[in-house]
Amino acid sequence: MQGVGIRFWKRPPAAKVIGTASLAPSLPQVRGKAMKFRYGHGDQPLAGFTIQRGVGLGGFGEVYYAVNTAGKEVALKQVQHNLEIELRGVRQCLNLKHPNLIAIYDIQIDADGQSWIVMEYVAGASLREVLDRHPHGMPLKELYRWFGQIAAGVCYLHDHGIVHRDLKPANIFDDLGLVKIGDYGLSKYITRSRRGGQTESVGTCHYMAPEIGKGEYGKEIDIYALGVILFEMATGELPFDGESSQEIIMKHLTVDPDLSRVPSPMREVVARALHKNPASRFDDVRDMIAPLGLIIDERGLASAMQDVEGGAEPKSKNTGHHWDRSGPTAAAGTTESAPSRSRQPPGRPSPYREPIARAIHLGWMEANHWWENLSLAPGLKNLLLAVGLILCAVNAVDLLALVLLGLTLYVPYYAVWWLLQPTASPSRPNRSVHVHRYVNAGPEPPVRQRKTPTASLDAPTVRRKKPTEEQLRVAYRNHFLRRQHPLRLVADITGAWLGSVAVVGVFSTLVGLLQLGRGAASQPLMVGIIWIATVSILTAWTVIMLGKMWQSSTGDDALRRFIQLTAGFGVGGVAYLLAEFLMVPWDEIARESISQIPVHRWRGFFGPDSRPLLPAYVAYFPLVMGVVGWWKQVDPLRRKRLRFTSVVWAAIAAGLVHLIVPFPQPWGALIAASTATAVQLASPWIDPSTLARSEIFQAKEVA
Amino acid sequence: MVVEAGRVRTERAGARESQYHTLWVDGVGGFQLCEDAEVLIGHALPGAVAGVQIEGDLPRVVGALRRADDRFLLQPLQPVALDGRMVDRPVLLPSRAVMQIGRRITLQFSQPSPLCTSARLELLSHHRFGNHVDAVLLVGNTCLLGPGEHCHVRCPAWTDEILLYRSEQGWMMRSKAPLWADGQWQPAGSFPLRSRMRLVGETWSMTWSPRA
Repeated sequence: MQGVGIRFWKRPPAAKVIGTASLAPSLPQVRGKAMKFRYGHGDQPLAGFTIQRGVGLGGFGEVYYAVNTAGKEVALKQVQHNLEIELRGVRQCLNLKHPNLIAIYDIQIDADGQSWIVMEYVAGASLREVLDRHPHGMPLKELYRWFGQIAAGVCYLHDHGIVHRDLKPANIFDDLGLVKIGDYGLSKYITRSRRGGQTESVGTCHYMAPEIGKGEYGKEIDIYALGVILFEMATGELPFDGESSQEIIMKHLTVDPDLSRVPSPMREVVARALHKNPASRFDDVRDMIAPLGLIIDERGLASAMQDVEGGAEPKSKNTGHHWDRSGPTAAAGTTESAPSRSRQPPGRPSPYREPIARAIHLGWMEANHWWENLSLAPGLKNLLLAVGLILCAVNAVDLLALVLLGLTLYVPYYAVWWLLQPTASPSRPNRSVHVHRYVNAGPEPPVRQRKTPTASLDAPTVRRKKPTEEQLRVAYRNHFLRRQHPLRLVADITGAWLGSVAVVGVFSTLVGLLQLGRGAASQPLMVGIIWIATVSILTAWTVIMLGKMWQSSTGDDALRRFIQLTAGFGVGGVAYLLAEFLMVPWDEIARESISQIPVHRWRGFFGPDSRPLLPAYVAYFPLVMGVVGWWKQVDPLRRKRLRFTSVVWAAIAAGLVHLIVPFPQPWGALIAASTATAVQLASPWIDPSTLARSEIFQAKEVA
Repeated sequence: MVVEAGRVRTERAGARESQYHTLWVDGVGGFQLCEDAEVLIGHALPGAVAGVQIEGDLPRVVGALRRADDRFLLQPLQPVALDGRMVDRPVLLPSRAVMQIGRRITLQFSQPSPLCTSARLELLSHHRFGNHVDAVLLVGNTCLLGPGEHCHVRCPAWTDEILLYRSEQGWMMRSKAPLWADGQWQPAGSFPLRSRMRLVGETWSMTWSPRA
């Protein structure tokens, strides 16, 4: 080190451990990723190079932007940790030459014996920054431009027997239009004959293939990382995210990605690239990009085929378009290539899962796209728009009627469709989970794991000890249910309410028809059935609302029962009012059961005609609500959608309460049983086998 | 340096040099601060007269940016297009205006903070500014650094904003949090900036430097 830059500021107390230590004990703790560097502008820690500023912090050292004495811009990487593995990888890459790889010029040692890697300086943004600017996915043209060149760079590495091992958006840069892959620190020679024997598990866990924990891997881990990157470029989201590295690694190991938001043909490519079994992934980067209509030519450069849009296989190498700094150009005198077509409809999938809603949404997007690209004079377009609006206004009444008719048909249909849905996918992306991750634009710190028993992120340990169903359930509850968007929660509750109405309605109708068939249908009985159905629905709605509010945690059992019991007062009161309104003829429909009740001992509960009074309702219903753990029947992570034992227990509990507070039976028990049935059938449920499917697969693979 | 009737008259270079500072924000970029009321745009050549120097296919001087109260005027001295239209006389620059100079060089002018007269110049095309900086700040009396969109130097990873402002003592920095300035403990508040001052906060570091 020399020159003007060496001043006291370089070594402030407790600031030598970059990014982890606070400056002084009195400094308040602040949020945000540390972006502090040992050297500042003007420093010359390495002879011949003057540092301009810090660029980034990686797991292996600090990277600076510097200029040499002649004015050449370079990136200087000071190797701080893992010296051997870093330098070994860099030496292997010193003589690689490819336009999509950041060139490594030299390895130098300063006066203090520190190693510095002299690299090509890239002034442009990283893919990480670009992705942060496109939270819903990159434009298709940009996506193809980036991904084609990334693939070309990775393919070149693989062709030279090198696996990058740390592919991630923070390591990929746009150098004035040319995409370049950097950070060879983790690169390593891996050939088929020398697979395995890795001593360290390195990389960034969001892009880390499942097999990395085992320490035996090849270029398939780069294919996997490319799949994650392609997923993120297409959707703006990560396929697997979580609050901790362990959670993310667990998902890489066990959960299948939700590809519903990835448009075809990328969806198929990502699906295969993210296969848990390395052998099932693409064998070569060329195979991976071929379905996207991209090829890597004999010069190692990415080219776009003419019919990329359809994802067709390349027809001939001569029809390709080479990627230059602005994307594919017509190298062979051909016309504009597919990725650069601005007129293609947006490749964004619909966020709706329901087929009709999805079709309407996609249709609207198509129409919107068609309108935007309609080759008409702006004035004419405005005129057409105005005419359309006037026509709509003139026919507003008819249109409104049509909309109402459509809604009348659609709502019941949606309720049925929703009921028939097996589950919410455990891998359904949750935007709120990882948006916060991009607040900091700094590089993602790679997760390095030595294979020691004490390593907290030791993936092999995770693999050896398979997570139990309960662990998966807890992880899912922590990861997804706690972060469920309030609107989604409201949608779930209202959907379950609709479902419970349908369930109770169907069963009540069946009972009514049976009674009709038996010739036992009487008006009092029908009134009783209607009352039971309505009270069951009311009880189910109360239970569903409470259960959905509590689904994010297992919670305090006693407190929940008390809250249910309190809610039971309301249910009892409404049940009483309803019975009075319907004038339920208790003396006729429950004559036998009432006759068994020692009414004379419960004068406050029963009227002179033996019909239950308000106190009976507001005593009986709260107790039934408090005795049964209804929220467990609403829990989406319950073991079965419908458990017969839960229904029986609800009926028994009602009978037990009847022993304390008499209520006409079996009507009380019927309400409890029908409520339990409706609640379980209508509440969303996640099939445990879906949670464990990948785990089973892993077990087979290990075996 | 003065622009008169389309001709450039340069004054003593030494006087001009003293008007520029560069802010090297680690992990973010290098920013040249132009304090002059008028600054020329031109090619980055040895001995260039332009304050905003661009490494591109450009004449020595293409145009001038002149401060007019809280706005900026663009005076073209060579063919310049503003938001796609050629301009041949001084025009007021709206925020986020895109200037095309030369054949392929595009610049964006923006005034991110409506409460501040400072402006930012960024290159949209694949070109670089001279002096290794990433953007040029046409600073008035204040300059904001922080995570917000309204900051002249946007630092997404930062948690707090920092204000640079001019006073009778020269450039000052105001920070809500304590920091280290040239190795000296600096409590929260204002303090003067000195040439080549290294500033280290809890999660950031930067250097305040005279122009190279």
